[in-house]
Amino acid sequence: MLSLLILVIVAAIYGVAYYFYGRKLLEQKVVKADPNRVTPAVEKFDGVDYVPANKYVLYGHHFASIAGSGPIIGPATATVFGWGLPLIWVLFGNVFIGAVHDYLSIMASVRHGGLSIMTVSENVMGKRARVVSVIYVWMALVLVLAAFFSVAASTFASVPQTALIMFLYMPISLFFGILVYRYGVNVKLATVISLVFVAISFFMSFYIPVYLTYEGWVLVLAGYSFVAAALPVWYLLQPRDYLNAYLLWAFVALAFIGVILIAGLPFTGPIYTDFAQPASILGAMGDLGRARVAYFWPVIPLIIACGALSGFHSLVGSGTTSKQLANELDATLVGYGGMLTEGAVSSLAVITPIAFVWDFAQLGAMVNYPVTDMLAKIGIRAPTIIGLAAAERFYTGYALLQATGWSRIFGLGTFEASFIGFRVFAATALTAFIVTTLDTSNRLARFAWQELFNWVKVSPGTKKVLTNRWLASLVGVIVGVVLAYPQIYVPELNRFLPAYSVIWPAFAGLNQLLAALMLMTASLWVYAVLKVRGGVTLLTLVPAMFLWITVTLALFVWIFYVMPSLPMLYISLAGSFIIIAQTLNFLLLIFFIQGIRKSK
Amino acid sequence: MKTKEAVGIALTGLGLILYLYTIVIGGMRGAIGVRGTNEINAILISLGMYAVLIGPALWLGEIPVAIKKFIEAKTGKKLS
Repeated sequence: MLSLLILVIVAAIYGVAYYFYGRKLLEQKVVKADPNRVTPAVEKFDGVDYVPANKYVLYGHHFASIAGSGPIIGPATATVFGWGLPLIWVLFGNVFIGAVHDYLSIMASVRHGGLSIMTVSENVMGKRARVVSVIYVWMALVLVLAAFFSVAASTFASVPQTALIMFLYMPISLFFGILVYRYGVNVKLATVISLVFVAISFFMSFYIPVYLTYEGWVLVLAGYSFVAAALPVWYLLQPRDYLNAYLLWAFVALAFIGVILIAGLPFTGPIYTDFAQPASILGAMGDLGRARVAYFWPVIPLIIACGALSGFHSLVGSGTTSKQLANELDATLVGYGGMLTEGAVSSLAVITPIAFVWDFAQLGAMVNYPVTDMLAKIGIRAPTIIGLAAAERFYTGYALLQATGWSRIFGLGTFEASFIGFRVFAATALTAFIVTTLDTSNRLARFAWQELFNWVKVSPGTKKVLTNRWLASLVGVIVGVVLAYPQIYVPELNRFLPAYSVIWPAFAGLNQLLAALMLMTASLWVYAVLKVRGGVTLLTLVPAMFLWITVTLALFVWIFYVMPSLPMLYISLAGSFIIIAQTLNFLLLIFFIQGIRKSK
Repeated sequence: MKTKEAVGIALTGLGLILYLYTIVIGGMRGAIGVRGTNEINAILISLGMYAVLIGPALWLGEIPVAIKKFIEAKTGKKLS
């Protein structure tokens, strides 16, 4: 009954949080959202970035953009602590930090003409804070690109049946966008037609895998990110994310159903293993990798990023989402609701399946099926799911849970076919999450890069060249590719690992620190600009400070135990990013304290 | 027809041909590309994707009428 209990707890917590915390408190008491106020999407419409969208379309875009591989890879990695602690962190972080942070980022941006959260930081903490934030944000986005290039490339290389649908999704999305926006075809009709094409593509991709090497995929994805980020949002981003949302909802709905179908069966995994894990979980290698210094607190933010909370969301929220919001009231569904949906992905589609299928032999004995033999056919010989890389842990766990559930209805004869089908489906969902994030990240990195040259003093000609849309996109992509391209040889495992195993903790750390800083900015906006007073201000301030302390400590662990063990390329790029970020972090704390003092 | 539109049509057509070719060949061979290599057909479908992304943007790249009408109704301003 454990699976059903988790389902009920998750649904109850999210339902109550959405209604009372999101709608009653944040929307009505803190921000006082007004449906009659004209939003920047309408006021500053430009046909490229400022374009109002239907709230469900925007929810789809926002959810698909924020839900990169973060809600999947992080919780999958964190299950080495047992499944209990990661689940608690996801639920706690989601409701009290992540969703609040996302909602306030969108609304602060909307009230600042759709400009980025960095502009808000300038208004509440001064110009220096904005410059520091922009540098910080650009570095964080480059690490997002690097980590996601690597995760997606590794998934396409491991499950080549997921690739054709990615290629076919592009023309189908364009077709949908052109039908709706250019020819005014009814959205429902266009959706049905497009989803039929998506279903056909999914079945085709089973039979026609696309093979490229890991490095080849990194380059293809980098090219995609570069091109897609420069296209108008209505043309690809809105329709693609809207259609993608159906795939992602199907993925989440099936996770719900799967959890119900396995009701009555026990989990094969432990609720708790050990509070301290080897530093290798943070990407450390050699002797340092064996040191048991990765204590759940404070290092958990270096592992679980978007599933609980994410600074990247403030960039999406204040970068692309706020520029498409047609009505202020839509922000609760899009921002707060989007984050809770992402938490549901982590808790029900990642942590619960891994907890259930943990020990393959035990699972086989329980369902009376030779699970270990079936897995050996596709090259999985590890006795437990913890022996797999994080991405593989996710799609193997999801598929085994689904196969168990559905075989209880249709018989054990369907077990293997269900497993194969759901494995491809889960890997497709993972890559869909990531690909949507790749062009949003690059678009945002371009905004940050261009904004940076408002302060860096160069000649007008040089500035024109450096802030050119294409060049600005290219810079972030190049650094991302340099980090993601190599596969790293780990002598103790005698195999190559995709670069994300090293980049992930650096990306996650920078991302979580960004969340703390942006939540501090949003808290200051609530206090200084909205003039909210009393206990309600602590609802944002306390989580922000808790997160700041946690992540700052975690990054020191990374600097002292992980960085020295890495190859030189990662010390010089990821390492320098983290050290600069840690320095800027303290500067921003000073600006924040000054901002609070001034607004008293 | 403007040059931009012509280039857009050409790129769209090229992209669709590359898709069609690689999918037909892939269907006959059971895969696009060869495991462990960067074979030409897998590269061609990637190039097809870029052409399909850029082509229609050049060809049909103006602001959509439906969005224009919505903005004009909300702001009362006439868009150029």
